[in-house]
Amino acid sequence: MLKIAFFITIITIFVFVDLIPALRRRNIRYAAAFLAFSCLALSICILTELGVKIPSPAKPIKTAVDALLRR
Amino acid sequence: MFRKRKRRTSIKPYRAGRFAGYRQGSPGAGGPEAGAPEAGGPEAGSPETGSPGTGSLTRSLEDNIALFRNIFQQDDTLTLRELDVPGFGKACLVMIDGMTDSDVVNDNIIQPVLMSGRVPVREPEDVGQPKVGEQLKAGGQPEVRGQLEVGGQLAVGGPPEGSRLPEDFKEGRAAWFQKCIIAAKAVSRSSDVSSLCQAVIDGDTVWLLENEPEGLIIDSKGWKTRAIDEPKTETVVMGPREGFNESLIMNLTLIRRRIKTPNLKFEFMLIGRRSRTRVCICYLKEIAKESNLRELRNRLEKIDIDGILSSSYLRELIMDSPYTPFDLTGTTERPDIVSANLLEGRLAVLVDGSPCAMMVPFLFVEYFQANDDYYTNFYFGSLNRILRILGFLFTISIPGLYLSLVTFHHEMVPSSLLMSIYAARQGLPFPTVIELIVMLLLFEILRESGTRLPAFMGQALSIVGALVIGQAAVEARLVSAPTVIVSATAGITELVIPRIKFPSIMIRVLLLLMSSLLGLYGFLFGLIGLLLHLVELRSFGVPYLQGIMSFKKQDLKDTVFRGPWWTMRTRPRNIAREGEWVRQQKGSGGTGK
Amino acid sequence: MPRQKEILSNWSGISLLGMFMMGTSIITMAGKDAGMDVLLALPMAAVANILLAFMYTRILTLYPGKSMMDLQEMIFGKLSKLFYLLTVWIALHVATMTLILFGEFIQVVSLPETPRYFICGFIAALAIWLVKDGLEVMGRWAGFAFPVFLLIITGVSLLSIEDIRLDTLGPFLSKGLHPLLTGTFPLIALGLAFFTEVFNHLGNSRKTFRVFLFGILLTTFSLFFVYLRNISVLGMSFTQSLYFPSYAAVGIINIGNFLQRIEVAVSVNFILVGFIRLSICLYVASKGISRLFGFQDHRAITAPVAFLVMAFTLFAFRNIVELSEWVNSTYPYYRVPFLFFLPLVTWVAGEIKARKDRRKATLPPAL
Repeated sequence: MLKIAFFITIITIFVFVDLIPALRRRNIRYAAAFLAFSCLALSICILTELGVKIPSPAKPIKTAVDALLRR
Repeated sequence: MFRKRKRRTSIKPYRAGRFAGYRQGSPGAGGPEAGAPEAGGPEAGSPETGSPGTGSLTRSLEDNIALFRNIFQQDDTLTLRELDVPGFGKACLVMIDGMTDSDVVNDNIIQPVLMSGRVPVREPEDVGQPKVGEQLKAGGQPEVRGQLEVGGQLAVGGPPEGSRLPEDFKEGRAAWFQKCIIAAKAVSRSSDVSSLCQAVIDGDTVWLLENEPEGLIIDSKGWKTRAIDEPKTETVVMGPREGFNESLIMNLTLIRRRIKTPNLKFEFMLIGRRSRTRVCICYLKEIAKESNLRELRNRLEKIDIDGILSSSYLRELIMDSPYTPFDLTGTTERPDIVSANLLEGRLAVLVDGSPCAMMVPFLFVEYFQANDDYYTNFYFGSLNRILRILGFLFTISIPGLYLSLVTFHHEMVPSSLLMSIYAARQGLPFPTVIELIVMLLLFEILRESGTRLPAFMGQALSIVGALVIGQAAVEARLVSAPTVIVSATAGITELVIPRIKFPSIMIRVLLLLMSSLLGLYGFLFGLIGLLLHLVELRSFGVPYLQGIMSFKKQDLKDTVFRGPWWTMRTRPRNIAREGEWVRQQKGSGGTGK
Repeated sequence: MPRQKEILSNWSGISLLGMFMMGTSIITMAGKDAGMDVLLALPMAAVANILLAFMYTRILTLYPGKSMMDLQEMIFGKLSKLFYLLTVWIALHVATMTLILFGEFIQVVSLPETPRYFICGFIAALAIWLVKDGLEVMGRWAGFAFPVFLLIITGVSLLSIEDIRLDTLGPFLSKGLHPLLTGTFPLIALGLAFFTEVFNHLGNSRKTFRVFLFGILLTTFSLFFVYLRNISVLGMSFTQSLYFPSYAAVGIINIGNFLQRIEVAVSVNFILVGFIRLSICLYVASKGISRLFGFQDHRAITAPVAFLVMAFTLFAFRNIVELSEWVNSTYPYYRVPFLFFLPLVTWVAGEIKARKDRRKATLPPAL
């Protein structure tokens, strides 16, 4: 839970620094990107906190590279 | 909810106008009109604009006097002196008591005016003769027509020899008075009520004539000022002891006396809707950067505030980064420092009524420079500078370092020291971080209460501060002795550079908090953040950290070290105008280096 | 209001390059699998780096002031988005690796109870701040921090002179050329490709190659010294078994029972250089993403990108063992298509386009 709280804190800080000025400037595209990225990050955080094992991209890459180089 | 704060630099219809030529310097020209707000319109005369009146004078003296009485009603310092000038009719002097110099009003205005009417007709060819006032000042005895005892002294009566008839003056009688009678150094004419009122407020005397739609503005400013003495905040061991006082003109004189070149320029502006404070930009024309000057004028002109009481008001209004705790402009009360800055190509801003001059651009190294460095031996000056830098580093880092070493990284402390620290901490109720914060807070409270305390209470403060908080708290086992030592060291080293006090308090607390979270790593992150903040700052476009950690030989000569004068051949980079960096030719001085 | 163009001084460029290249090797000793031969691998890698620098310089100077992404847009048009995507992917990946290394390092060497994301959060926040301030501030920051870094390296190495024993070195090339080649490959700084987005801001574009060269030589020299010290102080087999050999090597220093336990100097150094490595990656990633979405300013997108990197650190590598295995065995090969072939294709296409443009310029206008 601490992890999620920490993430939300950091994101909130930048909501004030980045998102709100963007909204004020009517820069909707940017605001949407901000929200999308932040939500993605936050959902990853919540998933790991819930105990879901997200597969790391490192593993398939590793097998692929191994297969390619050490046939 | 998140409404953006209104920019302080928003442009309003009224802006502080620039003086198109200071009245005392160029009589008749410009005058206060240039500085006055655009009169007329619904705003004029309203309390918001601070402009005292509107419209222009009428031909009737009665009406004009009534107008002034009306504008200045309930202001009992307004003095109206009604005269009956022989041969011309009624007249009236309008002035404010206390703002004018009585001697000037009596001897140079009232007396010549009263005498002027007793003159027989004169031949026009006598024009070349000096005027009476000049003759009096020169001590000469002009041909006496009528004599009058004034103040126990034989004063010369009658109009001067060379004065022409009022009928010769096509511009009218006011011009005759202006040019031939009144013996003041600056006299101008105006019929605009608001500028006349402003002149009265500024300390000038306004001279109204019967049947004349123009008034004369006669320079008669004079009031008591503080004597020139050494500033209490900036003492010096060896070096000039003059300091600024509250009079702008006096301060400018102090600068002028140090740099005697016509290239030394003083530009006046009026800032403040109500206070209408005179602000002066000083610079050396051939050295100062044109772009900086333009930028400074621009920023000052954008200021729209009701009152300026000190140059510190301006400082915060024109800073490049408004939120930083660091100073982005230099401040001093000493004319020698201002002169040295002008010679380096900086610009100075002086404000009437404040002894503090403001200088731009200001770099971070200047916190550590003192004028004493330049007046003493250069080894000693360099040593003192290094001590100041160390003092700054100590005061920001000691509490944070102590906290992280004691709570996170015991292994780094030598074991004997660790043992004694732990022995001192036996049985203490609070964690180290709370102890440190409380002790630092107490130190700041002691410091702040000592600053404005009358001297007779100081004793009590020091006894309570030193004995009760220092000794008794340790003996009562409320705080540990090392904590007291650490916070006291941080507090004392803070005083090495009084000017950087506030930023160092803030940085110290931030570093302390970061250390309490992540130990030395938090401390390091804090330092990274500090460096980042310093790097992103600029003062008038010059990087704030310029000169620190530079490898260029010329840059090192006047930053961390104070090089001997014969090595400082160039001005600091980026501050003076391009191509004006050499201040000393090779081979200057006895060393021939 | 468009910001004025940011200009990097040469020293800022060198500092950024040096700190980026030393980013992780300074603490993990990349290429240590080669054994003793790593000392020979360093100069070999330097030669390869200089060759790479030729290519990157060429990309930057074909159209002065244009970065690689600008060039790709000029050449490939719509297709360039694919290139951006690949660049963003590798930049995010490197950023994640660096951030995890930060967290793991601090957690392993001194704060075992502090959660990794907490440490990463602070560093990421600082990196966001730095990247949002722009390249010029980044360069000046590096310009201040790099001398401190070099000073610490020199000072610490001087202090460990007592412990350096050159007779522990050797034998070299005892197992043939193969270990030398496998040791050289991870040391080749393909990450220099990121600087094709940075050095287009250099004040004097004609000195681009000199900045590359000086940075590479300075880095190689410093790394050589650090590697030599670590190997001779710790011995080869001990060095290979450690995740952070520099930390251990400096920990041995003990001068007069007073100057001891100065490992923290190594931590300081690693944090300084790693911070710049992270910031450069974040810069490139946010620049690529803002191009993908067609934003004018990368500053606005920096923070969300950093959140994403922080989220990746939560699952990409669980601990230093996984990370180390990946960095040593897979990463050196995995990065090649992104950081070598991508610039290569851009360069070749750019050369062709530049030729065409030049011919068009010299030809008289069509009759």
